[in-house]
Amino acid sequence: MLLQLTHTTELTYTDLISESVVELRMAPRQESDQHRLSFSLAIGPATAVNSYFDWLGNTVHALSISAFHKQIRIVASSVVETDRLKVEVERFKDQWPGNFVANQQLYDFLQFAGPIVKSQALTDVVKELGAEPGMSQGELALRMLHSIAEKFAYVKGVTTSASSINEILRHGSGVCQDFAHLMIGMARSVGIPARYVSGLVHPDADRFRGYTQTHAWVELLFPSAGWVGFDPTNNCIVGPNFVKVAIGRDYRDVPPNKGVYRGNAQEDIDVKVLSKELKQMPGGLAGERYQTLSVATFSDAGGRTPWDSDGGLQQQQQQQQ
Amino acid sequence: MTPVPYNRSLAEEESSIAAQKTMFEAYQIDGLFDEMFASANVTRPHYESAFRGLCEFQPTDFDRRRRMADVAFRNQGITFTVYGDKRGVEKIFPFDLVPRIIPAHEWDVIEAGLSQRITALNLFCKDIYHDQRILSENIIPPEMIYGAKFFRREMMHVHVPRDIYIHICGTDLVRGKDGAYYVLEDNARTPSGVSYVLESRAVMKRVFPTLFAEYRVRSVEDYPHNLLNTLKHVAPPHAGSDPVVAILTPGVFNSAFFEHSFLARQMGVDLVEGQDLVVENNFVYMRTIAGLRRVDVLYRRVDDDFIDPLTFHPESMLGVAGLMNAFRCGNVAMANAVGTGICDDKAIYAYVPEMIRFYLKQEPILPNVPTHICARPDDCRYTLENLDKLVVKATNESGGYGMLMGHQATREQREAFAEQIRKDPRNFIAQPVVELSQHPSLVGDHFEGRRVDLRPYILYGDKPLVMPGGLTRVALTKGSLVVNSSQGGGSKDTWVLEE
Repeated sequence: MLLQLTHTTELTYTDLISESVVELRMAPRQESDQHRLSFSLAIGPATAVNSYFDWLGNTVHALSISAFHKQIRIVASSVVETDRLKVEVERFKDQWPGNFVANQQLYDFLQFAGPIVKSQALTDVVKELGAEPGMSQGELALRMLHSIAEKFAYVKGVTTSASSINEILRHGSGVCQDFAHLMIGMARSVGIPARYVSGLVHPDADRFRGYTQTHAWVELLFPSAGWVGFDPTNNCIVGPNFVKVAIGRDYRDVPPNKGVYRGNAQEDIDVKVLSKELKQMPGGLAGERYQTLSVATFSDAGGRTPWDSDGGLQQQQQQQQ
Repeated sequence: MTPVPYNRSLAEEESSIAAQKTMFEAYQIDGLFDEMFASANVTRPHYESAFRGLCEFQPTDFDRRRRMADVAFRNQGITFTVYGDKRGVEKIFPFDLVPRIIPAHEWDVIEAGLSQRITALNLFCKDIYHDQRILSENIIPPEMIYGAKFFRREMMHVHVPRDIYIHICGTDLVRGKDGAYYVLEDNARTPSGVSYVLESRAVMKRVFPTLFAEYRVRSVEDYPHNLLNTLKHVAPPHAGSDPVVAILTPGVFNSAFFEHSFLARQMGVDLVEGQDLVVENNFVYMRTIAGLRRVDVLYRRVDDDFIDPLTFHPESMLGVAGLMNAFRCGNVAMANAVGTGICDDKAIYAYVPEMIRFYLKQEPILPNVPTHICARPDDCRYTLENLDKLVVKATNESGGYGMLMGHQATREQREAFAEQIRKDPRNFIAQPVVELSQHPSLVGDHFEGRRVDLRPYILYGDKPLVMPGGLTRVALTKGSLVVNSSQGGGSKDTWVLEE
């Protein structure tokens, strides 16, 4: 599937701020089943952008804006070709429990840390899966997927980007970030390596939630097939309409945007994701490009002297829904 | 390193000890290794002059000199902070006037051993944050690294200038009953105490000019100069021949603030706090009255967790947002590099002899204290069964916090610790009690033996450089084995002799 994606993030502040330092994880990953044909990043106010790979191989773009400003706009556009075959995980020959060794590659994906916390409620949910030694690992994974869809409701505003899985377990509801964390908790409880995926979804059917926002799902490791994606929010196995942007132990490793700024101002964040299926490869694609958007800095930001505005450092971070 | 017994002539005996009652009158060795005495009446040869000199003092003279020293320390503002103490936070560092003397042949071994150790530790950091050969070749189990609190995944595949991670290391040495030196722990993050070494030396020269002149003591005064060269050695190429160095301090409330300001003054570099710095386009600048000035090397005394709110602890006000990105781009060097805390982990410490064999193909010159790693089921069982004979330490604490001295603890304390060990074995190690060597120290109007350790400072620039001396810390309470200044320890001047 050939997809064109535009991910627009608009950060607006109630007052002038300065010294914004921002990191973005917005560039789709290059993987064997997903090819990034082009990526461009447009940022206003004008600034230079640097990129690096983090320890998980995600592309991070880093930028700083020193001058006073009230707004930052980021437009990340890409063309991605996905080549993900439909898999039937219940047919994999992998049996549960698998013999996963916590070596340097897998240790992190088997641990309880950050939002993935142990609790009685989690133990109960896992017990209801009825896992039996010798059963298919794919079957067990599907039971997790279905049991989350059955028992938990998608409701915005119940949890925050900092919520642990205790909250979705207590309230019975949450957003895709919570669904993903919960499935990771269930998988790690039964010794299956699980990781968090942040990405974008193209709505090829009405049932897909998350297409107006960035989305989150999980991947479980199958010895015979490698990492396989599951979307507990949409109760499905990840198909060609999913674009992987970043992987991590949990949400803490992959926020699409993360920043610190100086000033006494509240931040408001507005995110839009547009996706379009292309019939053919567009001509003249640049592999990677940075542009500047015209967004006002302080010189025309309302006539106030920036020196009125001084204050502590603030952080920004957005929940994945 | 075995002490050479020395027989004093009868004439000497008469002239020094028998002539008058000295402050050594009631001195007890108690079966320990004593730095000054080989046995009750036999002084070790390198202490001969010092002993004779000290015998000439009467308590009143000595007390006068002690007061001179105290005034000098107070006037210099040499203080440190004990956290969690309600009676005022800043304290004068207790100083014991009797110098510790180390002969050249002993120092040669220490110097070679410490150089070997810091070289291996730097190779270890490079390896663990890049290829991880030591894990794939099964020398260290991966879970020991990945389960370590101070393993920084953010440093994976980050190139650090000249592959040096640990530029400044403070390694604690102790001597057991056999008189051999053992490594007790490495401090590869932000070791402190070097300012006390330099200030103590200045005070000793003033208070005991004659005694000092009798020895050829190696100089420690060039430490700030060497430190500055070590820092400049890793400056980015664009900095040219005169890079801008600054010390990043957490601020005046930090326990080692005196040292930060002292070193800045001695090196002639700026002392900055996080809010004095700003990162722009991945370069680090300090705010000065003349505008922004680029910083090329940061000697940072702020912990990893607080160094960059964007990458680490988001609430930190002590660090600089974006500093890690500037570091990653090679636009600023940091000493020590982020991630060296992995070497301070007391469970990783146990593997240092293996690291020396693995990376250097050498045998360790300075041995470790035997260590039981509670993460290993057998070691854990042994530890729990022998709690009353062992010292148990939390792997990621320093300053003598999170420690159980099994032989001195009450049954309840041991039970409580056993519970903690069972809950989180990775967080604990156990060692046999090392009966630290003792050294004469002033107690009231006479000398008594008190336990000491030694923290030498090692710089790693174009080659390892061990400061000839170090911080000898004294447990000022009789019988105590805890020398940390945060636990009421004092210090002495350490004289390393020329050949």
